[in-house]
Amino acid sequence: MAASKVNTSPYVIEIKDLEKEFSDTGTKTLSGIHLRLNPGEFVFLTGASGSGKTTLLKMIMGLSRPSRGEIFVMGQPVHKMGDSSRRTLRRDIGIILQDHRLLNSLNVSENIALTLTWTSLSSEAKRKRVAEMLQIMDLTHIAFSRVASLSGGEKQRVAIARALIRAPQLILADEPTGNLDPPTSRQLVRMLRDLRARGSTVLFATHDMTLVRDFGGRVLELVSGKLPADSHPASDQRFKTPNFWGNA
Amino acid sequence: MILKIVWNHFKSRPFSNLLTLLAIAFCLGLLGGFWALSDNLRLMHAAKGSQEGEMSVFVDGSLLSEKASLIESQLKQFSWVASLQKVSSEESLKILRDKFGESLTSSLSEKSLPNTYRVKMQGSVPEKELQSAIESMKTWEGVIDIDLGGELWSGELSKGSSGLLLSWSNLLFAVVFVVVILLVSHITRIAFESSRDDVETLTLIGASKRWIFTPLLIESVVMGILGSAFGLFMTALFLRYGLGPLSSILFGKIAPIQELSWNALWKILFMGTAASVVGAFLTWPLIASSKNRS
Repeated sequence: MAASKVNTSPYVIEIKDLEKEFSDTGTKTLSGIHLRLNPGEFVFLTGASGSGKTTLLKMIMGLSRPSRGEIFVMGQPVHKMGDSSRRTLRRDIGIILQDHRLLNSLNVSENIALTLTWTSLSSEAKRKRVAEMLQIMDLTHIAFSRVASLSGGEKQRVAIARALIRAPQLILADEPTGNLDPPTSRQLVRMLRDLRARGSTVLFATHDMTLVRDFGGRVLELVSGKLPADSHPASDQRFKTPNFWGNA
Repeated sequence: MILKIVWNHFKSRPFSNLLTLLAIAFCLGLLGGFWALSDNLRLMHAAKGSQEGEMSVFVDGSLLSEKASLIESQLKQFSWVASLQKVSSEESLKILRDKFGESLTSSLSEKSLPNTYRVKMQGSVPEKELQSAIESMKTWEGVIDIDLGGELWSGELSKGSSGLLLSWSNLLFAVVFVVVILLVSHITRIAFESSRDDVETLTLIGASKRWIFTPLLIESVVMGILGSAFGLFMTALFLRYGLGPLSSILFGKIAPIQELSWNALWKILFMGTAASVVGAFLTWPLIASSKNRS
């Protein structure tokens, strides 16, 4: 199901000379960003508040347009795609945010099933996939609870389940541990790191350096809109990992 | 899932939704009441013509005499025509001046008035036959108008309370249509603003604008249908309990019909729904231009 169009680029994310300047304030939030993310990588994106992490993620999601440069996500040129195409592309990206972004009017199962609305799966297949996801995320006991009544950790698990249900090739997480206690945060990172085995690439933005130190791996550091540090720049070596979920 | 979102929207703003629904119902009920009144007046007017057994056929004053004679002979062919009297435009003007006075008729002239054929009917003519004869007469060359009751043409002066009420009901129709559009547009806007977080979440996960708009559209249509239905209920109450006393006060007689015609009923339902759809679509630019703040 992930990447509904033909992916010709070997990288899941490829960014070339990216620049973002806000025309109303004239502030340059990002400049000279070059980045390549391989399939199956788990990458931390760190930096102080205001360093441009969210702006960078928003541009990868296609929610904001760059002032200069090119962004390819799963081979698709996000920087020049229309509004409608960018929306369609977002369906193939798992997005996890600090504030969960769940629909309070729907219950846990319905929130998880939301992104399956735009697939050709049968109702039965959708139900099966939701049940599977509820089990993986240990949410079965609260499947029909209103999300408003859940704890922060439970809400975040629902958000993750929603992000993963379409078996995305790319997961973008923007400060997902911001509202969680340390043990829950570590559990979340562990869960997302395990997705490497399923071929998913995870870009995990955080300013929590304890998490970064504890888990290690590739770390990108944004400083005042520039990317001076990349612990393990992507080489031409490709990760060939099977997609756990298969295609829908 | 969309229906659940619609239901939750309804539940989240019960007071404003109820107020809008009542406002729509009131507007449409007012329109329904007006239509019922004008229907009654039309019927009372027709009944008056039948009772008096008289009809006036107004013919263009500049019509050639051969064509006027043709109209005269065509009129005589109706089996129920007992006698025919021609009143020229000069005579009409004189009669009208005697009746309404100089000041009210100063705008009238011989040229502005048609010739009139006063038709006396024999026996009671079935209403359907009379209506079909009138429709046929209206197609004759030179016939301007037909009036049941044997009145003379006097332009605006001849428009009785029925004519005036009909004009008012047309105006009311337009006003109510606009008011319902604005009401629904307003409530849809409120619905959109109050669920902006949900809209942003849906945008974030890739929902199309059309998908986001669908619950708002359904909500508006439901509002229009419920408002129309409640408006019809209010009209029914008015016809049952209010029209009789009102008719007695205004015209000194009980209204001949005390229920809304199917035609009016469907018109109200259609108008309520159509205005709601238009009202909902007025908020489309707001949705189309919405940006994600996350």
